[in-house]
Amino acid sequence: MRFVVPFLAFVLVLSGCGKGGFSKGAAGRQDHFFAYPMPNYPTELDPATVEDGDTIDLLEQIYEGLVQWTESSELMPNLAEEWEISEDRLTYTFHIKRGVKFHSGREMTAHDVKFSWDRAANPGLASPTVDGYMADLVGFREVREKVATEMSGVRVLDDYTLEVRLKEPKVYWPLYLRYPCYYVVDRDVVPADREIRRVEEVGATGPFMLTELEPKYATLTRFEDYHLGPAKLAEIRRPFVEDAQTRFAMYESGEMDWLQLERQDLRAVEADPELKKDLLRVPRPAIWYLGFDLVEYPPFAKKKVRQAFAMAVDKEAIINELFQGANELAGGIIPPGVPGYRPDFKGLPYDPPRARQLLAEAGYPGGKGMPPLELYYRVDRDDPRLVSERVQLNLKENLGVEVGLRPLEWDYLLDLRNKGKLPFFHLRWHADYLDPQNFLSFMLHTNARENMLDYSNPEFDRLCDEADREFDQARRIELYHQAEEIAVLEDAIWVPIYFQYDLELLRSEVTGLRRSGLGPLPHWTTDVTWAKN
Amino acid sequence: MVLLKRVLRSPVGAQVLRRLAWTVPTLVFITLITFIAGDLAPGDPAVRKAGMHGGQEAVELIREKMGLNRPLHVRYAEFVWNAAHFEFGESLVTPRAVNEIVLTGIQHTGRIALLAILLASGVGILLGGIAAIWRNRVADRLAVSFSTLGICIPNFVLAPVLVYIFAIWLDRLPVAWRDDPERGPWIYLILPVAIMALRPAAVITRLTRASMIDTLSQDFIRTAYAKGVPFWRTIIVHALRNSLVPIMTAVGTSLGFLLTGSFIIETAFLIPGLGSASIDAIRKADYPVIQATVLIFAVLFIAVNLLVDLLLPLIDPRIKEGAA
Repeated sequence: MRFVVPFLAFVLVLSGCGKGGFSKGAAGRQDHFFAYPMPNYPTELDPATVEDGDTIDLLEQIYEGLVQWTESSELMPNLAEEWEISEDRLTYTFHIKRGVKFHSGREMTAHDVKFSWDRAANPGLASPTVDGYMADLVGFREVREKVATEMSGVRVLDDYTLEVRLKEPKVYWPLYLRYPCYYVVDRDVVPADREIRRVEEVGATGPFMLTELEPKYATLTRFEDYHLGPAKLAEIRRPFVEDAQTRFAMYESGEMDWLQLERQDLRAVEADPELKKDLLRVPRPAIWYLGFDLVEYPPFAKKKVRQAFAMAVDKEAIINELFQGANELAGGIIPPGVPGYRPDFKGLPYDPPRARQLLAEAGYPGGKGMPPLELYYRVDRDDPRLVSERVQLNLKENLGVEVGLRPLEWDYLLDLRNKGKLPFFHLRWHADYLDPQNFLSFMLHTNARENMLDYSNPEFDRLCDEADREFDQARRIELYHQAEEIAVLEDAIWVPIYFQYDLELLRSEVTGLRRSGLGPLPHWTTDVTWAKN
Repeated sequence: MVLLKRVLRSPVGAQVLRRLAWTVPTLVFITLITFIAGDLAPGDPAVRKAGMHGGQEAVELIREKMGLNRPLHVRYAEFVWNAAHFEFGESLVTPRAVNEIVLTGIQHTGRIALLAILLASGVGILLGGIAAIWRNRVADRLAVSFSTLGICIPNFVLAPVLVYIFAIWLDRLPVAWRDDPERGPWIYLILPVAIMALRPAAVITRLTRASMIDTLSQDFIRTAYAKGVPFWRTIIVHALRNSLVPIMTAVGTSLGFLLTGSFIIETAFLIPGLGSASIDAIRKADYPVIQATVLIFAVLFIAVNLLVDLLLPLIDPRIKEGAA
């Protein structure tokens, strides 16, 4: 009895807390409040320096640029109402929308756009993204090398007109404007020569304002003077939750409205009829592939070795057995959502006898005479490990080649990759903008910054160069297709494995969530309404 | 000078000074080890920050901005100088000052540790006392079982089980910590504090039981009964007070462990304490945060132990005489 009394008291105290506050269902939740977790504290508050996708998703509610994606993944005007392209394709004249207000209430002008871009290029901010995205602007190099403080190629003609000059014509350059380093910041609010580090230093024009940034969550509040009209949501709450299990529990308990699901939780979701209704499968413009370095591992310089490896990997089994069909088999390089994606392009076939023959022709019958080889991948995710283990098994069984596994911490792996020190690796490439150039010329052209493989094929380069300059979209895609076929079928420089699909849970109370092929668009039309009961 | 002499002449004062003097080399040693280990470990915050888009050029610019391109001894000297002024610089990974992370961390970790040690002491002394008084009876067996379970069940098992029961199945408690102006912090603290308190409660139960059994068998207890002191007065004033030294030692060390061992619970319940901050920093090679949290953990642990050593003579004057 002595123990029963305090226990009962404890239970009574708990009952007093009231069911519902944390519960499934609507009782405790207000309309127009949207909550979804972020796996980390934001890495940046500054669009000029942000690099990781999770933080970009947060900042895109706050900051925006001259252009926006439509739901059908086309470019549409945003802060720029329209633009003209000169005859030689080198000069763009942007007409800035009038009456756009910063969160401070001040009107945004072309001066702010120029200030924002010059600021992003400033080496003092050490932005990791501008070397890729802004290098086409006249005057960028000079700012980067501290010879100039502003880009001569970006000129303000009047308050609402901005002239931009490029070094060479590039069809896809306007797509870059949707990347955060081109977003417009409030020059009265943000620090000019270092990155934004405090909530008070955030100044932008987007549909939401950053009002709270606490150790474990951020709160975004609707900006009433947004230039397209106020958003439907009053508030967005983003708790920072590292642990996937906790994120899932928060969705189950009704605290969260939207969730990126880990594949290991899929079974639990499918077993629960309530949760299963919320399940979505969303394609990502991303490809997971095997890459070969022709210098780091000399046998890979032989085309037949690469082809043999490509034909020895059983992708079908990887998709069906490891992923239960959740991802899509990749034949080529261009993923779904990117123009030029071909669902019917199958790539090199899985053909172990032919693979063995190719390897023997290359001088390594049964894998004999090959120096030791290791497959590199990142240590902190399940999927790359599962695939790498299966590739190891396939190569041993089908070719007699022994491959060691080399899981590495992400930053260590990145460092080796940037230095071109990965002989054989399994990595992902995710679209920065929806254009095949971002997957072909950008990755595999002889002069591409991202080509750390020492891969060089003049025919591939010629096709890419021509496509990069071609303004007829159909003809362009055709040229990229030819280049893709060279890279995959003939040279087998990459072995495409799969196109990534994400699993999500989205509550039925959430409406109006828009996406482009690149991912969710700002939550301007998103809303949450709970049925009154 | 006069004051110093007086302090040095008093045995307790001398002891405190000696202990304080020892903390300096201890802290230097600890921070130096973390500094060197951090430098040797693979992982580079500049490369991480540059991500997939940044090439070597960008990495070099970022290293320069972070100050990572300077030699180790320069960075260490700067760290020691700044730490002496409680200034730990900026995080390398997130847009935050380290002081901000650490101060919030101390508040949360301190609150949970203090609540947990209060709960654990209350439960532990009560159960241990009951077990000692009714030795070998049902109450004793229950208390001993509780204590064995409490020592055996790890936090990382208990946390998801209790979250499942109370937050998801019964739906009475929140899954994770939240700043909630309407409900206040208490409801969010119930689960983490209870889980943190379990192990120290179990330890204190054991020690109280053993210590009380020992005291209850002493002659002066029999004398107290014999001269007619009421039962509860005998137990509380005579038996408990004389059993308190080992219990207080256990409470002190437990508090030390609670303050410095909240990694799992803080991570599981999203509490922005020192534990979750340091785990996060270690995962991302955020050196300034790692340095600051390690230093603070060391200081806390040393301080709590010192405090216990100072309190014991107050409870039991015989200890002071022994020291003198």
